[in-house]
Amino acid sequence: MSAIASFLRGRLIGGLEFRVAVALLLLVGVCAVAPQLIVALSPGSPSPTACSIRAENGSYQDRLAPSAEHWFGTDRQGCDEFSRVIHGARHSLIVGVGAALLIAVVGMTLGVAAGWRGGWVDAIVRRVGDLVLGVPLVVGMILILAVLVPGQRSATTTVVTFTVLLWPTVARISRAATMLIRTESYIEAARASGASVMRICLRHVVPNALPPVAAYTASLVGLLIGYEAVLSYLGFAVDASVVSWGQMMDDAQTYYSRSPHLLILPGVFLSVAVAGFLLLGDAIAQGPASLDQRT
Amino acid sequence: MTLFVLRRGAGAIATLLASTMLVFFITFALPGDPARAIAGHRQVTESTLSAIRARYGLDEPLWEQYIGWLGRLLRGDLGESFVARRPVTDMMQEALPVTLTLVAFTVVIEVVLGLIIGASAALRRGKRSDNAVLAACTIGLSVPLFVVGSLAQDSFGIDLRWLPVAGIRNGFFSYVLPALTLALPGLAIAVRLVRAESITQLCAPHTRTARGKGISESAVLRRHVVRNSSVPFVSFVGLEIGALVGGAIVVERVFNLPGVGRAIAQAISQRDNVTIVGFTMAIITVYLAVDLVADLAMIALDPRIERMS
Amino acid sequence: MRPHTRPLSITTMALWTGLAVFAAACSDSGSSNPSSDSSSPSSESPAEPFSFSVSISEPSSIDPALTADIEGGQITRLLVETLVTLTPDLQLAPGVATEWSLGDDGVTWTFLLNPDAAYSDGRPVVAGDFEFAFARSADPDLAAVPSYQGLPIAGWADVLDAEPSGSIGDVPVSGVAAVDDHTLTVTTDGPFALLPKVLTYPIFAPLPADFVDTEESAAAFFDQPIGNGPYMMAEPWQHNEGITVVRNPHYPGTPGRADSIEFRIYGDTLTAYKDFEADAVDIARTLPPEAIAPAREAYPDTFVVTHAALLSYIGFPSNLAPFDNPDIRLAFSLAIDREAIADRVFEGTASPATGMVPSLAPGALDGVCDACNYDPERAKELFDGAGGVPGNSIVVYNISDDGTASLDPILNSWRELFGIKIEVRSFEFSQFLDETAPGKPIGPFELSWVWDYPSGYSFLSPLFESTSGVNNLGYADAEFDEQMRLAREAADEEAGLPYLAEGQRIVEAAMPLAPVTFSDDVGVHSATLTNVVVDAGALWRLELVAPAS
Repeated sequence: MSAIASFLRGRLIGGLEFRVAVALLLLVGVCAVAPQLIVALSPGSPSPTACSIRAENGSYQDRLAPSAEHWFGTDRQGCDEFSRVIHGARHSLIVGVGAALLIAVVGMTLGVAAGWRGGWVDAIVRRVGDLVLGVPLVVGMILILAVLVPGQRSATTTVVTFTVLLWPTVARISRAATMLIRTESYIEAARASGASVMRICLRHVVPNALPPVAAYTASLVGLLIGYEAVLSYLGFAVDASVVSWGQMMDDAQTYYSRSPHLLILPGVFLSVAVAGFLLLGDAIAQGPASLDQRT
Repeated sequence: MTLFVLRRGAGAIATLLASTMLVFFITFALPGDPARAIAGHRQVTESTLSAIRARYGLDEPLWEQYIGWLGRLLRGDLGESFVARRPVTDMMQEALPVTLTLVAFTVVIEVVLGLIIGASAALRRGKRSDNAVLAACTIGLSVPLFVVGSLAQDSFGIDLRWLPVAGIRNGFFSYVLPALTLALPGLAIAVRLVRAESITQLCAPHTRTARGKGISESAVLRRHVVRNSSVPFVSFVGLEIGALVGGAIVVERVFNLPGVGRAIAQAISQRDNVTIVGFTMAIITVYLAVDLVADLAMIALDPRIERMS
Repeated sequence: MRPHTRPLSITTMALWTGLAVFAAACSDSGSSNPSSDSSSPSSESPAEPFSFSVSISEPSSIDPALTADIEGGQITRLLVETLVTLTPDLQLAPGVATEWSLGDDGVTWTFLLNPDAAYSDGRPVVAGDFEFAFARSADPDLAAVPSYQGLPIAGWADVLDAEPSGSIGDVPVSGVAAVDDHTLTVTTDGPFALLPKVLTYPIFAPLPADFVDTEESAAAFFDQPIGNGPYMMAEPWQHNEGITVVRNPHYPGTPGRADSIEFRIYGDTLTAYKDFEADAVDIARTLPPEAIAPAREAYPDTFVVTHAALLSYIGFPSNLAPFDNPDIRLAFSLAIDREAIADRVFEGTASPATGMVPSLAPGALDGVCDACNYDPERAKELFDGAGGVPGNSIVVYNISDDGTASLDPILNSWRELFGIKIEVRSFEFSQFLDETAPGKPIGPFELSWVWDYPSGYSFLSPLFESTSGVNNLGYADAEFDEQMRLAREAADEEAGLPYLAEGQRIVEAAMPLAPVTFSDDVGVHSATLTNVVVDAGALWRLELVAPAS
């Protein structure tokens, strides 16, 4: 895949956006992958979920402001906020990255199939895609989550919900890219020489569709992380044992005037994660528009 | 052109029908007994629960309920809400203008400010103000709406008392904070879009020719960019309206605007199926209509598109 | 592309102009109060017309027969007057009935009606109006949620359980009879000392049949009910916006002090409070927890705390292991730090529960509930002594729209103290009721209960009596049922109190549920108002509110 390698070595890595994106994502990534390491730096290495409103000595320890003992203060249940903010990265990243990857796979499969075969395959994919797009995203999320899970929202159900509602755009991008390249002469040549459809798709079509899809997918992770937080705000809570930025912010916004740090700190981390992925998507998009293999 | 409109129109109606059928069945398959939800945690007798179900036809099989609903729909009757005991059309008449006003206001902000800021940034590309604008755009897209809304509500509404905090009692002013909040992500996208289009235009050969003739860059922008970037911009607006509907749900909740979004969120938690379906239909209809208009506008601006579809 | 420097381009000028215009618009709205609060009487002399505004959330209904929540109740109780009314300290007082008595058979109550009682259109109230109103409230065609309130009345259940006939109010309740225009008898199925208190509920307000006999008038009645109370609707209900009532000129009793009252409808209490701070509403009836401390500080003299008759509790499926073991139930209850929850989570909008019945309810017994205290050592002892829970894990049910804020401290306590795993199942309210219907829950669930009428009986009977349709605790105790029967059939309410007390002793020893908090309502009113009274049922007596001199 030398074309991809040269793509990577080119404008992508050198660009400022890419570097900033990587920096932000590294920060968030470390929090997601190894939260215990970071939390260990703080006094007491507190667990993010074992908390109580009353301290050992009987005084109340909920909603404390940031201090030397609790770097980010404590939340409503007396939990150490620093620990919670750091641990919160995992849930957002799992949902965001997981859903985006699934959307990319599903969308690309359907889009390439539609663009390549044309005819009724194309018609069906487009019609169903239009149908899905015809339902506003937030309304669709609310409806699906209320049906799929008559109880708690989990990472899995969130990922499935996002996938069901968001594959059409990736499909459209892939379809357009496929249709553009399908009529190229070298494709005709490959078919004439007896290469199988699968091989042609994998060797030529998919790499061609990959850059726009990758750019969109990277930005999509950012959007999904944001939407996942909105779901908490709308009342679709995840299990209390899962530490989630969205849930923390939803709980904290009513206390904003008195404990602003409880809303702002997770908000900052969430925004950093979202920004990182958006910038990554931008960086990819500015690379070469297609991997034209004629040359 | 007429053929295109007819074809698209028929497609839109088909999509509308299919979407609403989907929504209908999902909604009525929602777990949770609406009769019990209405009754609440009281000593309501079983006979009252049956009476409630009978009154709303909830004990009929799902297909029959759908046919009945469709029939009433064709007569212009969207049914009666379980919870509020009012015709859904009445509730819609109150809620729709609020949401449409909010969305319209937001779109205006996005378009106007998007053009102004985006074009200015393009003219100053590479300089600090341009980078600042880009960074601001990224931030605008990253911070969740309800956080921005809460902060804005707190600073401008309470601390500074410049603007009303909630409700629609203050007419025009009630929509200022909500619209600004809602516009933020879309504005960020619009600015980037306009900026990118402007830069493409500014780097294009015909611009160099114009410069050679002594015409300024901003004059070039005014003459060419607006026209040439209008197609992607209209496409953006078309897509944006769909996204705005979703954002409106959040913003309406933060600022307590009695619009469609808030009505739907409430109806879902109350299992008010009739209202959910009625309002969702309204949203989908509006969305499809806007989509169609956007497509028509794009063709009007650039006839090549019709041939491509 | 070479960056260029130029004098201000047109684009930039447009941008700055736009900002300038925007800034001007902003400062305009800042200098003049955007909300017109002409109702504030601070600049007017007392002889001038007096009116004020109150915050409420959108009621589910203001039709007296359908009123099921306190928001609707606030309005309905101004629009109608029942046979008997309650004073602010919840004693019985004459309403439309000037006197009433119980016959020798112990089941027939006779009410003598005030001949001056009239509706807002001047029409006099007659006993026949009660016959129709009761028939309407019980009618399955109306499918009214509060219809169960009338079950003690003879014949009510027959109307309620019958098939819908298609018209509302056509089948009379056999236990209600108009002897003449100003005498009404109500017969109960069995002796029921609390009947007069039950009859204070709005569904028992009078209503002439021809107020709702046509489709149009019935539909109009929903948005603009006509009644015989101290106030009347000035205009139809403006949904999600407001309801305005004005004094009823034909009301024979003490007229309301205010000429008109404006109810402003808010979607959430925080918004209402913000509007109160902005002087856009005179009374913020319910404050959200986060506004309580600031409001207490900012408005110390007009801060109102009411003890509402609402019990929040954790119910146990008392017929299923491991919760069929009373020691386990006691252990779980002793592990709840009620003070911390009331102080920190509810921030003063609740008090720790001291028993099954809120202290202000007639018949409440304090100081008997040992397990209502926080005693972690004893809890652990009991838990270990009972052998813990199978699999060391339990399931707990939660209503997701309320969030888990009040449940979390309890779960944290249980996890830490007992070392168990807890699976939380969250549901929307409608499903939650299904999941916690009698016989269904397999673990503790968080619920609340509010009385129907001011009596401890209205707590104890529904929650614990074995025949109650909402007893989802799997709890049945013959001795307790007997005490309830004795209380019901006592000569009057006073005589029934000892039986209620005994009933409480029984359930507070068995703990089929763990009471957590009694709710308090916290509100604040403008300094321009005085005589702001909230009764023990959390009902604001708005007819008494007067301007501050």
